[in-house]
Amino acid sequence: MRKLKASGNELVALGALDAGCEVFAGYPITPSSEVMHKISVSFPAHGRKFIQMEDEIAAISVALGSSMSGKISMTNTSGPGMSLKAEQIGYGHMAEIPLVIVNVMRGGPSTGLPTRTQQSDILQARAPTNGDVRTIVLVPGTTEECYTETIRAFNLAEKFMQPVILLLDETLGHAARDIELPDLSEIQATLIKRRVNNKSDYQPYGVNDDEPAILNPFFTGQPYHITGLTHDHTGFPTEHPILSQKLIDRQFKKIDAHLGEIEKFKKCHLDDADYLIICYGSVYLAARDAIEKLREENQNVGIFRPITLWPSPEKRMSELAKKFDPQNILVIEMNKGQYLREVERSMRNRPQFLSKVNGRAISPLEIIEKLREMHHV
Amino acid sequence: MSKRQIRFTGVGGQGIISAGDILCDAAIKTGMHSVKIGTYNSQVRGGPTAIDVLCDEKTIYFPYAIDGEIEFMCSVADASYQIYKKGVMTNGIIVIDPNLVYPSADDRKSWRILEIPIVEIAKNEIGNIATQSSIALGVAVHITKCFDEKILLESILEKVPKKSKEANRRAFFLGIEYAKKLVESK
Repeated sequence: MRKLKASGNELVALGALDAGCEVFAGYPITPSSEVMHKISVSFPAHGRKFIQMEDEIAAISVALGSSMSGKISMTNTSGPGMSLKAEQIGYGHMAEIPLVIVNVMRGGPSTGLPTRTQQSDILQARAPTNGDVRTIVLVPGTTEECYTETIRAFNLAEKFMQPVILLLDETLGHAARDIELPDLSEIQATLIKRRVNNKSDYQPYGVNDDEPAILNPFFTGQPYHITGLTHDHTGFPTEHPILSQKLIDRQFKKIDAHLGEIEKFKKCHLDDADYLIICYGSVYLAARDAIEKLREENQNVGIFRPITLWPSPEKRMSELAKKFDPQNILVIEMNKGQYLREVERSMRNRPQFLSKVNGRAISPLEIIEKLREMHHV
Repeated sequence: MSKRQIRFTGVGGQGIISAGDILCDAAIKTGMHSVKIGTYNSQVRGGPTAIDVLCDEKTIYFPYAIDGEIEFMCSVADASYQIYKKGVMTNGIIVIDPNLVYPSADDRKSWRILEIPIVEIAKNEIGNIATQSSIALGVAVHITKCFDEKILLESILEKVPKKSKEANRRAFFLGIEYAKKLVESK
């Protein structure tokens, strides 16, 4: 165990270092800048590459290019920067280039509330670019998880050969506290290496219909083509109707056939709960305080919180819908209901909803008041 | 011991966020759980800032202080004092710099307001305005009794630049002295 004091942003930086990330390219933006600030010191000290580019688009482009050369890569931003990166995120999906993209969410839309907290980019993370993409989006709910989910983001990116988005909110990014992390050796034992194929008949996209592409590092052997255009197994563009259909089908199936490896959620006090809270990110911290307080009054409230937000744990939520009446389910978000619709879709019912979009955190007391209002608990 | 909730407020650039950070370090070194979170606006300097520091023997989840539960607040700017004072519990202690913060008569009924000219002391007695955070920490440690003096001083010296370590040490003890005098006189 390693004991330290750190903020979520600092732990993302440490997670990147421990995951073996070799190239970081970014452009500073509140409230995410501490990730970059830390990495600007730690990466050069460990022989890794750090570069501050002229803007967010250049930053993701450098990170994608480095990843194509076989280097584990990362970029970091906040909401407005995600908007700028949109085109290149699509390129990462189409060409199947692994990359970790961190978004420390602030108030939106546009430049919004730069220094304030919000879960404003949940739907943007699901569909961050044009076209059909199956994104993987991880949302830590505790300070420690900012570290462990960073590690997992790199592993999922390398395994499924596509960008993975790690979403923090400003509260998690900036709150610093005493924490315990697993030892580095323990983390290193879990790291997933990118597949390579050195056979003479190598074709980067010539894989099974539920498999990710195998992109050998550029400049290390056989040349191949890479493009944002729809392409065949060789990587060269095609408009062939069957091959075009197959490509996108495979890019979905490589995720959908392996949901068990991607899904992650936590349950808290659910076994004996009469009421259910569904939340994620830093809202969990307020909800946890609220339910601990209610338990002292013998009110049993439990929490279900997705950590992999997309693809959403829809089966788990539909199971919970059988156990709880929608009147007893409360979804809490710091947005206007970006995940609420997904919960409704999965549960096939209309739960209660508590929301705030003024850049301030939802407090434990507000949650307790909402529950009391719902049920006179 | 139940949860302790402390808040420092000022304007951006005064070192308020650093003071809270140091307090959090010291609490953790003492063996407590502690969390700190700053609140600021998008102005680089001059905007109202606050930092909440919570300490508890139990795990802390929600990182912000709860309005009405803060036992001690220190404020060196009126703009932030006015915004953040409502977080302090009835009869809680607010240490203000009387040259920069202007509480109303009602405020003085609601809270125990102690006046220490922190910025003037840093400027005139230490000769380094950047030491105002260390003075504030000295005041905080004496009044809250929440932290070990030695450990807090250690935490300060770890964070401040090498060339101003001595000035910060003096500032810390001066803060304790002023707090002592004030508490004794009341």
